[in-house]
Amino acid sequence: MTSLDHQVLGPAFAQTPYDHPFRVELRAWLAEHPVDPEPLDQDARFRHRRDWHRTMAGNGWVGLHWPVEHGGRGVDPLTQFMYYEEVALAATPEPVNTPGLILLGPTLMAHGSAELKARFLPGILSGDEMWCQGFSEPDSGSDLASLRTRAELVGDEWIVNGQKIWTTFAQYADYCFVLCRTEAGSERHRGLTLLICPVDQDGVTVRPIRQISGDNEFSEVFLDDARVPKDWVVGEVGQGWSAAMTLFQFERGDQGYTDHARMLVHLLDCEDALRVAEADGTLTVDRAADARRVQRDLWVRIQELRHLNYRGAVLAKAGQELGAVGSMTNLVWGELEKDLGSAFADASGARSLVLGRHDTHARLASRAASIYSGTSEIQRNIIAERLLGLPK
Amino acid sequence: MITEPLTTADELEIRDVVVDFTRTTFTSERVRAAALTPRGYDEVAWKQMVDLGWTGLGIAEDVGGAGLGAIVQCLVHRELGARLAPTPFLGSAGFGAAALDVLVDDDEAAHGLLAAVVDGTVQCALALGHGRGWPGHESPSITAQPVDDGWTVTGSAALVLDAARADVVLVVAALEEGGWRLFQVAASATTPTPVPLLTVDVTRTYADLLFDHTPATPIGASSVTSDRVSLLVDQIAVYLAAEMVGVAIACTNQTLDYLRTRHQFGKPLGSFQALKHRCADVAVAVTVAQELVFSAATLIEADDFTSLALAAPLALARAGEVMLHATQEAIQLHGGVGFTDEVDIGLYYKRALGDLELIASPVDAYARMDLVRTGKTS
Ligand SMILES: Cc1cc2nc3c(=O)[nH]c(=O)nc-3n(C[C@H](O)[C@H](O)[C@H](O)COP(=O)(O)OP(=O)(O)OC[C@H]3O[C@@H](n4cnc5c(N)ncnc54)[C@H](O)[C@@H]3O)c2cc1C
Repeated sequence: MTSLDHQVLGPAFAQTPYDHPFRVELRAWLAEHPVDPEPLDQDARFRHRRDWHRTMAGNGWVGLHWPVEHGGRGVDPLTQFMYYEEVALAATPEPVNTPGLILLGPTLMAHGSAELKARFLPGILSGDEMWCQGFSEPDSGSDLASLRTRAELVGDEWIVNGQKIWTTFAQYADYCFVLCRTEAGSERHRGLTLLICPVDQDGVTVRPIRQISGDNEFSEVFLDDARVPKDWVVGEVGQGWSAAMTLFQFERGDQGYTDHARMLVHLLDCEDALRVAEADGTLTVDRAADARRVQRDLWVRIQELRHLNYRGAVLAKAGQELGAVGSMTNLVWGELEKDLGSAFADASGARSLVLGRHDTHARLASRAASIYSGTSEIQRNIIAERLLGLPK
Repeated sequence: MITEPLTTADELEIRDVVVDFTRTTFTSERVRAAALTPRGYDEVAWKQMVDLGWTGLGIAEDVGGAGLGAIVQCLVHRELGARLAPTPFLGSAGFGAAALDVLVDDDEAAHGLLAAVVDGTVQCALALGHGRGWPGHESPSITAQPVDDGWTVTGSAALVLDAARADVVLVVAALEEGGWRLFQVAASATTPTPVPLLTVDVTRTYADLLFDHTPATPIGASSVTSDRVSLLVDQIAVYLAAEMVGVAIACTNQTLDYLRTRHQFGKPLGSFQALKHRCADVAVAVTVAQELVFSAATLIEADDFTSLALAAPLALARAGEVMLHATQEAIQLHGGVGFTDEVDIGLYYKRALGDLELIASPVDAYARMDLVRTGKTS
């Protein structure tokens, strides 16, 4: 007999069964901690996510895969996979502070000094300190290695000058990890350094940028003689590219961060909306049938993503590199997210043109999914060149 | 960029005038500023368009129009779409005027209203009482009731284009004995008075309309059949499809400009073959969609309504799909900046979302096309 789990998530995997003790334990905790639905307003939404992060962190439910010495539980990637499925099933708020939790934290563990780990990891985990990612620049997006922001060591401080852009949640962040050029005259991947820059200082100006969704989730960040303590370097001076590559591995590969379970739960909302719209005549019979076909296709595609994520978790557990599999996941995820956003809106027909609705917002916001963590085109280049070995 | 289906010297001359005016008038700044005004559109530009006679281009000469026909009408819709012009042109001079023309034979009230639409003294909106798409088997959403001293209409119409600021709502309402009739309702008489809906498309105004035994004045002496209402939908579908093509062409042109100038990896983005192919595919699709639209316009001019019944839903569906695809590609190919409100690409995408719901979604238009093809329309 199929259970609710099967209906929502799909077939079980051998190593992450639906009656796994970990799932049982987490479900029990989640059942005792109900959470309100997410508000639409951006600031309220951010607070809602941050508060939930803090609630979970206070109970030891954040960063489970982090080593015990850094405040995690040291769970294996398959447990992490189950974790993401469970928090999604409970319709909890989306993760917040991902630049810290998913990207910088793990990179610090790999490349950071003992002092930096001790100083920053606890705040990332607890959600007391928020982070943003300062990589992209106006002239350096897909071509990140062309970046021009520079830092110079003066006494015991780095003085940083330049401009970052598309910096997500910079307006809420306490720290920004900035990839910048520390070797005058260096080119491309050489002479770069990854610095931890406090946002709340005179040398840093954050100007939010309005998005097509009506939000201002990302910003321009102007660095004018911004100051960074000499030792707040992730990895070695001049080795920023290598630190950034480590970081991208986490961005492209964090098993399960890639959201398949959230998507499956979201698809239920789409199916509900479709039933309502069909019943009240908002959609014609033909359109409802088409929407149902699209939703079925989406379920299949999310299952594919789920299998990719599972494979990623299995590989990671065996200690193997994810390599270009991360790019596959990212590509599949980004394209899916957009189509899911559109399907959600389409399920309510013309009504999802009206502002102030979740489906209206979700469709617009989803257009960024094939851009923001490396565009779909760049992922395809990586797959073709690194995985398939086609000539550059 | 793509082929121009207009052929005669007159048409090309009118096009150049229209393009010239829309380019200089509907700049990005003005389009955005208009959205913030109380009326929600560019009143100065609208008045200029009326003075230039645009509201009468496609309307017969005997009621004060220029009698230039559907191709010129479509050309104006295309160019206004290309600039996302915030004016009530589509709702009033497009949909409203078409209803007065198609549903009413030689009637003084209709002529008077048409003349008023042409000279800009009246701005109207069209509420179709069969719901969206073409009239079918579903029960009507607006009906008419005879009362002692005239008529009332009852029902609702969702997201009616340009209705929030209209003086007159033209209502196509179902009669109890069957058939349809066109009514005129003072916008202020609807319950409640329409308020603009805030939608994704800030360059347009929409309103939900409710009629509750609202006094209505019939226009024209007699009722019309569902076929006649279908002809009206065919006609306005072609006008809308022309706008869609304009949206697709314009956002694609902006994207091509961007790909020529933006550099990454030391090269213009447009030199990457993957992107070239994407642009080539969009250009082919837009070219073909535009051909579908302008041949449908030719059928309107030729009074070949049998062919139009097929051509109109085909043009609407295909132009709609192509427009959506072109606007989505435009965002993607712009990268991060395409997701911002600082360039107009997002405005085109959001116009596309609105246009797709205005008459019939592509799926519904294809369903109509299939019904017509297989002779199952009545
Ligand atoms: C919502 C959102 C949030 C973001 N958050 C952050 C953040 O927090 N921190 C941060 O540092 N950055 C962030 N970014 C920036 C993101 O990483 C960049 O937008 C992305 O890398 C693309 O760069 P670009 O915008 O400069 O586009 P471009 O690189 O200019 O690309 C434009 C188009 O050209 C294509 N293209 C480029 N090169 C090639 C090629 N070689 N072959 C084929 N096609 C190519 C691209 O795929 C794209 O379609 C965010 C972006 C978005 C949209």
